[in-house]
Amino acid sequence: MKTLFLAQIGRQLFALDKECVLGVGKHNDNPVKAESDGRRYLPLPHGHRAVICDVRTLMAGYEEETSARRRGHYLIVGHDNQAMALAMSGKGRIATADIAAALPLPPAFTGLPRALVSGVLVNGADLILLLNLQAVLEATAEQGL
Amino acid sequence: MAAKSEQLQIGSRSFLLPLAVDPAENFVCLFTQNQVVEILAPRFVQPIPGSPRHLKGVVLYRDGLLPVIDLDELCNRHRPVRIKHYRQLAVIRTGAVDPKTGVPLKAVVAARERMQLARISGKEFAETFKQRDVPPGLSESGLVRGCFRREEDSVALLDLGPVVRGEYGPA
Repeated sequence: MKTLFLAQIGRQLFALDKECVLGVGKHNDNPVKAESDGRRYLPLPHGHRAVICDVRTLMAGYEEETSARRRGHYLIVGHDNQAMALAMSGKGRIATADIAAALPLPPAFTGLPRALVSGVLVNGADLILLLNLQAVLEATAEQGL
Repeated sequence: MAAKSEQLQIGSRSFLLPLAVDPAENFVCLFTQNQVVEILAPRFVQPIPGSPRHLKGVVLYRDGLLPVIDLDELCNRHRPVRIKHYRQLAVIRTGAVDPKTGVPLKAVVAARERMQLARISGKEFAETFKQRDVPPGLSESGLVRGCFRREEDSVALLDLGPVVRGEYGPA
């Protein structure tokens, strides 16, 4: 069993290792400008910052909806000596799960989706996607987020 | 033997899924009775981030995950269809097997309209349906096994094997 942090991103539930979670921040209306590397950063206390990664923009056909609903919370996670801010709905919650029971994606999913989602947990009728933070960081960097 | 002969004469049940290939004609994709495992009522399809448009996500089916395929997106690769709600989800035997495990692969085909039922015998198909050119959208998909016409109705037979094996790349 492993302790996971569940975040609702769009209409989907995503899970990531609780050990990676640094905190949850509330979205404010101040616009975040893109910096010289083309990425957007969320300012954190003590001069730190987190690179904004919006998983919703990786969903096919989600662009318009995403831009209209950017309000919510940011999940701040630490990965590879840097902080990432994942836009999410609600505040998320802690859960324990047996990740060894996670189902793999069907073979139809290759490349980016397989890199982003390392497995799928089944909880009743809900499917919870196990998120690979490194793949999220790289995929959102390609989109200039 | 007699029962099989009778079935050939009566015609086996076929499932016809309307395709958005050309608004001017009635175009359907044909699935045989043996291909269709079950027709499911609409349910939430779990999208997978980073997926191509024709893969709408996964659904849980008998303790496993099946990919959900939108044939209209496959047939209109350069013209997004953007359908958000499906009326039916058809669980299909694709005939392909998992390259790693050898397990037969099923898929769920999302239908924006109810699938039509038809009884078409092999004899009737051979006599009344004539082979026709494959429309450009379908041709680009590279998945067409055959394309036939009867009066104003056109029928396509698709091979979803490359899609479910993960060998089907975007254009």
